[in-house]
Amino acid sequence: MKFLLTLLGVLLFTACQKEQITVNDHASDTFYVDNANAAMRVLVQGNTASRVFVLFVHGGPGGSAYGYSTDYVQQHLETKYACVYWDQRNAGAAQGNANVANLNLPQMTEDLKKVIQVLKARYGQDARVFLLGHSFGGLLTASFLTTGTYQALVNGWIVVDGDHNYPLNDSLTRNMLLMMGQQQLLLRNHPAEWQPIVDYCQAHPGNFTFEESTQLNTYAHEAETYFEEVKKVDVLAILRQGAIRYDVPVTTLFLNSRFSNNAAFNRELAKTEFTSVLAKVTTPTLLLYGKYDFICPSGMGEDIFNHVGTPHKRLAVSPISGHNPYIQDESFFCNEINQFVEQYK
Amino acid sequence: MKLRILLLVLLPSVPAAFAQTSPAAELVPQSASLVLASNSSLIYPGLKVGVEFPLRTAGVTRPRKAGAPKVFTRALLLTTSANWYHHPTFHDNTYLALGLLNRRTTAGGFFRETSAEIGLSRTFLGGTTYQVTDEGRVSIERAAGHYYGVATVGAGLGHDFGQTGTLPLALYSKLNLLVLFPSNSTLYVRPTLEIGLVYTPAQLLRRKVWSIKRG
Repeated sequence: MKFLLTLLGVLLFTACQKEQITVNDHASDTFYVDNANAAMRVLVQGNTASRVFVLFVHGGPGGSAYGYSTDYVQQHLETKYACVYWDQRNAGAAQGNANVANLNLPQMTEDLKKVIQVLKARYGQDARVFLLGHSFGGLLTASFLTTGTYQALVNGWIVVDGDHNYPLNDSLTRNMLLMMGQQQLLLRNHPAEWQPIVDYCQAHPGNFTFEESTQLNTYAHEAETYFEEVKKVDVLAILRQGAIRYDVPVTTLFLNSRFSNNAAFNRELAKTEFTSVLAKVTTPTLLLYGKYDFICPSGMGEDIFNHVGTPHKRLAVSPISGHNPYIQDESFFCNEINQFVEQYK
Repeated sequence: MKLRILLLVLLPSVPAAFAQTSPAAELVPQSASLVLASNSSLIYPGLKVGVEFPLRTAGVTRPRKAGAPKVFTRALLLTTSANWYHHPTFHDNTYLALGLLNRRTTAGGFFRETSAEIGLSRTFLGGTTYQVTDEGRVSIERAAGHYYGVATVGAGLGHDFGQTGTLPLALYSKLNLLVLFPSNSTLYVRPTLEIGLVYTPAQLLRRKVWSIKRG
């Protein structure tokens, strides 16, 4: 007991240590934002002296931001700006107790706001923040930018194969699977794999149930792997770079992902759309999509491009990427972000 | 419900061999043991200190078709421990645990054991932790972390030097599966590896324990 009390004393002492805030061109600061029963881990890495922060809002729900810090991103983004890798609630290295009641989009929108407020409190109110939403992060950032005056906190919105409108996404995915699938069948490329996809799409033309939406998403994940020109995503490399390099326990990564993926709020998300309120967005917007992304087809980017209220917008499509251009077309990804940030920082 | 499932997992580790008392049983004074072990998981360091209280022992002689009979000892022990591990930028975890350990020791001193424990954990987050009010005021939260329920199951091997000599010491290694609950409304699972010593002084919390002879 004496040992435990001593240990607790040491831990309490170290827990009360002064915060470490690094301002240089190779910072690596980890901190937590505690909000509504979730302690969410944030890694700020790279050039904090630039006062420019690219905040990665990961996909999932239930993914992790750490996988975006690839070697290439470290060399081509983190050297110029600070990259902020935030693990959302019930995802990655986030911690908490029984908090499923708080797992919903409005709460996550509030979390994002508080992460930005903490960033500014740590690194200065003049910090310029660019939101980068990938996949589900597209929906979360769209929610954030269209809520109240939240967009005043950021200087730019970068959508990377993002989804801001689930019903539209389902339709675009289904149409792309059907069209590309029929082409591939004519070319006799992977006919055994494409035939059931095409059959499914023909049998399910629209008004998708949650289960149909989930099935389309599963086919969409598979589809990009049938094209030789699309770089395969090495899950072990992502784990090595994301989990092991940054001390994220692999078990928590897996269990959080599994839990969030199956959580009830996904049924609500399936009906969620922000197209109708995108006119509120006056923040400069960069839209990056992959030609071979079936999960969030480039038509999603066109929809954002056509509806945002800002004239400062650009849509770029990688000719070789699927759903993950930060891995599948790294130079495209970093060059586009660099040009955008330089213009609007 | 989760607790019920955990209990169902833990209970089978109590050996059926102790379910009934033999008429040959007698009360024998036995000392408690002290445990000191590293309790790491992969590259992350940790420490365990504990006490083992013997609850019951059984000397078993099992005849073989050929050769000398197989002789071994079975012991059921109550274990208490204070544990800590350090996972940088994730958390420091301190936990108290109480459980049962089943150890089978050969005449030569080699033993194998299984254990199950439950307890309470308090984690300390691995970084400065902030809270933000609705008005946007940012403050630092001191000693931020969480309380969790803990359950562990483990299996290990060791050698008891006191069995063949006079050194009241055993060296052991045990692989555990640690579960924290509820963690993000689900479970947190972590493998840990104990490597440590069990020291049994002659007069530590000595008490009479049922000792059974079988064979």
